[in-house]
Amino acid sequence: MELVRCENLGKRYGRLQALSGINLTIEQGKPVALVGPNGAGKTTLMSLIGGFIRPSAGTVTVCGKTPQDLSVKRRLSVLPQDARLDPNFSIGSQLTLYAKLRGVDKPDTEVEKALELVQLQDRIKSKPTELSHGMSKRLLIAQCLLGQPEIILLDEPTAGIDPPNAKLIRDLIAAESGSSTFVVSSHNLDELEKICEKVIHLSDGKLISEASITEDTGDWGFLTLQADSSADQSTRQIIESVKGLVNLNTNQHSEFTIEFDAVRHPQFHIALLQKLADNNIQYKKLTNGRTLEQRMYSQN
Amino acid sequence: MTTLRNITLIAATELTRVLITRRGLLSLLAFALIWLLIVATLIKQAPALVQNGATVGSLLGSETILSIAQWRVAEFGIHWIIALYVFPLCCVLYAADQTASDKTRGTLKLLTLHTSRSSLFLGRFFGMLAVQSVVIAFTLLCTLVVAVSRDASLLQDSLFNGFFIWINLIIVLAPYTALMAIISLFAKSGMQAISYASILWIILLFSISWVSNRYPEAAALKTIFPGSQIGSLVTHRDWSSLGTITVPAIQTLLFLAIGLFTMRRIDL
Repeated sequence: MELVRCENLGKRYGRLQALSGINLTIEQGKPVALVGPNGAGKTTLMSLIGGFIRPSAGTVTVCGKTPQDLSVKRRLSVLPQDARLDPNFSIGSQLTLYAKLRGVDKPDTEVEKALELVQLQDRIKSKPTELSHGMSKRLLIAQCLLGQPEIILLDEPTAGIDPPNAKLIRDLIAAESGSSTFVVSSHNLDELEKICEKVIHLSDGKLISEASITEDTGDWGFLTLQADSSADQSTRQIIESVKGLVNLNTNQHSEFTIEFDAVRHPQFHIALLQKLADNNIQYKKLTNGRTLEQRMYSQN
Repeated sequence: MTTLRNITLIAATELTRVLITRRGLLSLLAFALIWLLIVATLIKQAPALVQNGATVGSLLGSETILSIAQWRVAEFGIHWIIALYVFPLCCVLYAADQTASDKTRGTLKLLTLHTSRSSLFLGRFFGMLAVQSVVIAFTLLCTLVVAVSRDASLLQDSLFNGFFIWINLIIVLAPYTALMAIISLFAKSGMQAISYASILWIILLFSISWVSNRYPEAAALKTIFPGSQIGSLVTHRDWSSLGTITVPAIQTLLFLAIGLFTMRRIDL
């Protein structure tokens, strides 16, 4: 089922063209990653879909209606990047108000359930200012979960938060992705790779690509070898000596991206491991395929 | 139906903000202390002030003092005059932050995820009006206590006068509240909204005065200002005052319509 449709969508702030000519659809299903550098237009796109701002050009619909339509409120929720709850009221009273405004049947129960999911049930009587940054993010995710909307947009949900909180949020998205479709924007591509199945790539306000996170590489296979810090030129030479190698790239973190002929040399990875063992080369990790970061930003 | 329910929910939350939160109670306490000062220095002295009409007359104008003297409960006569001129100013200060801080903080975004922008705007407006109704009621109660403690037989008249003033002041304050709701949408804080309101007021006042000096028929433009009927309200002390309701009612509806239009289109 189609949840979001953008047709020739554009947004201009004064002289700045923040977004232009965006055509995309988001279907119900597994989480979708929204990636791109700073200023790419990720937040603008989320704000347009969330109905916080209006397009300067084109249209955006959520479940076939404009985002401002009252019927969309029950089906969509957003974690805006910099939003905060009112510091004067308790967390519980504000979430209960939100649930009542949404027309949820049992608002108190719904709030307790949402807070439990983000592990903040013991903070129901606290004021938002009493929470840490990570807890505040989790709290805002709890408000997204009220009334179980069909689509939830999370704008940089793990930005600036510590690893335990980030993991908790990732786990939550994975657990709830069966009942809601998440669209997650983040600069942490490793994180997105773990939880998302589709990636929307924006740059300079334009849609660069919209594809599955699983790479279709045709006849070529890719391996990513994370060598230990002692890797040097000899490691490179050893990898290059494996039959079937097509291309080899290295980054500054001793990470090798190996491209090989998967049709003629389907056992390439076994040959590679054998060579590494024979030459007593230590490595941390060997993964099948390229990371999202390598795919998006490598020259090859 | 949903819209009406949500307007009520938001308005009730605004009332709670003043009556329950520490910040709201502090501002209420500050106002109460100022008002008690007014009660002690002016309202309590009302009978003497009315008798010494010459002094008050020189301050307020003979017609005004004559109208105060006609109130059966002099305390309410003084209350009426003070409230007509002081409360609109308080209203501008009080109603300035209907949405400004929430917009800056991003709370408005969160609220619009759960309800329509229209119900949010109207809910805040009616909530602010409800808050002011409570504040007005408090001031009237103070005056009633002063009047009845002077002469217990004035209870019935005091209740009548109090109710008359309560209704009329809400009508007077409605357009101020609606105008501040619009200004608040463009401001980043309550203070900024007050600054915008002051600038707008002065520019409009000078512009309209200049235009009406050159073209006398344009003097009617002054009716766009909230409170333009206050001058004629001063002498009223019965329900004939409701004859002046048209101007504030039209102003309120006009400002609300502009506010709703803006609220629906503004970027959050």
